[in-house]
Amino acid sequence: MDQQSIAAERCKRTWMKADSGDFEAFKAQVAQTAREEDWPNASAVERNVLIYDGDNVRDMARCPSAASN
Amino acid sequence: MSEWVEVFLNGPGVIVITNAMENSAVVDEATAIFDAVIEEQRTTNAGGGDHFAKPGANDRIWNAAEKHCIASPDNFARYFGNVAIGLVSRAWLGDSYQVTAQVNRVNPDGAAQMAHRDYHLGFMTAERLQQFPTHVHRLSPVLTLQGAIAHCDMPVESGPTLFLPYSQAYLEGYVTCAREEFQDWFQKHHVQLPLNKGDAVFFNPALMHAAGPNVSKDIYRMANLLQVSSAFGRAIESVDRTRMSQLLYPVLLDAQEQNSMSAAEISSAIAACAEGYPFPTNLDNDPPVGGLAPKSQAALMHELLEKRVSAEDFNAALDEQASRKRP
Repeated sequence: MDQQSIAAERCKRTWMKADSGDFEAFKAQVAQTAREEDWPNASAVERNVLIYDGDNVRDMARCPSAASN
Repeated sequence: MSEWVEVFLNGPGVIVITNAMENSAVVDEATAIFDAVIEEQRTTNAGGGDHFAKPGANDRIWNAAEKHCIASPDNFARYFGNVAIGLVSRAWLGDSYQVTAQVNRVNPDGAAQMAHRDYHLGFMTAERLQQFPTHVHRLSPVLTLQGAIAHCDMPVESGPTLFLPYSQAYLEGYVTCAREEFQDWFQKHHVQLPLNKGDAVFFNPALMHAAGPNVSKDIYRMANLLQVSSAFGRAIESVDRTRMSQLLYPVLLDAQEQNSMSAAEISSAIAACAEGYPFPTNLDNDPPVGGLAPKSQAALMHELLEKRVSAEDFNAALDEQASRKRP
């Protein structure tokens, strides 16, 4: 790679342009599905939103070892 | 809570804490306080504009944290003396975070918002965004945690917030958010959950979201939007934290005496009120004696509360500290 292309590549990496971003990559990013087993403290997963029970959260806040999990 | 760090960073980006406000009477009392502020704003024509909605469709209370504390320091203490708010703020932002709050009441017929990202970079035009290098686009989301406390039951027809899970982790998201194909994708794939009074939602501010349309006949959908700032960020609002601390201190002193609030609850209330970080300061007058940093306002409040110092002496110490920090 010559010096000019190194500079051009670097500029592309470090600055956003108005047309930055790839729609296909975005769709792949938001197509993920949350799995309950990945979030053991959650009481439920509803439509990809994690639900935590307030009473459990208060218990966790009271117990420093649980709060670090 | 490492789990929440990863939820916000690379996971779905949004959580609901059901029954985050344990005592619904505390929420109702706060609602009455906010209703009165809105009423007063309407009579005096104060309040004014909104960045995401047309006039009349909703009512806003800017700097609701300070107004809440002035109207009722006692209710403020019970409301923000909330360990769930403390735990989630600390998980995402670490220590010394700052709470600001903005009430939004979306009235029947209030339209949906356009999908957007939030403060900091979410509040910039496409042209302005290009003035910040890519690593700052990565930085912006870690400077704020966005939250909302539901002040009434919010069935779907009342328009609780629409979210696009996982969109916060899309690096180019600030520049792509307003583009047609991204907006269309949001319209088709967003999720929306009903909330109950006292539930809280917290999300990464880079998550694409929008208030939903209120198509109900009679639900005045009130949420207290919490914008929690990193110690290293600039909070969105200027807040008179010295005045708030003076109002809150006697309430916390009493709660401590009566054992009506736990140490963790008192700590969460202080974090929502006092300035949590010692900088910026005037190092000529406020040097870091005996350590690397001078004392923050919150540290002073903790210290004097622990010593059970009177409100009068606390006020004097607070004023003295504030004058040392002045340029």
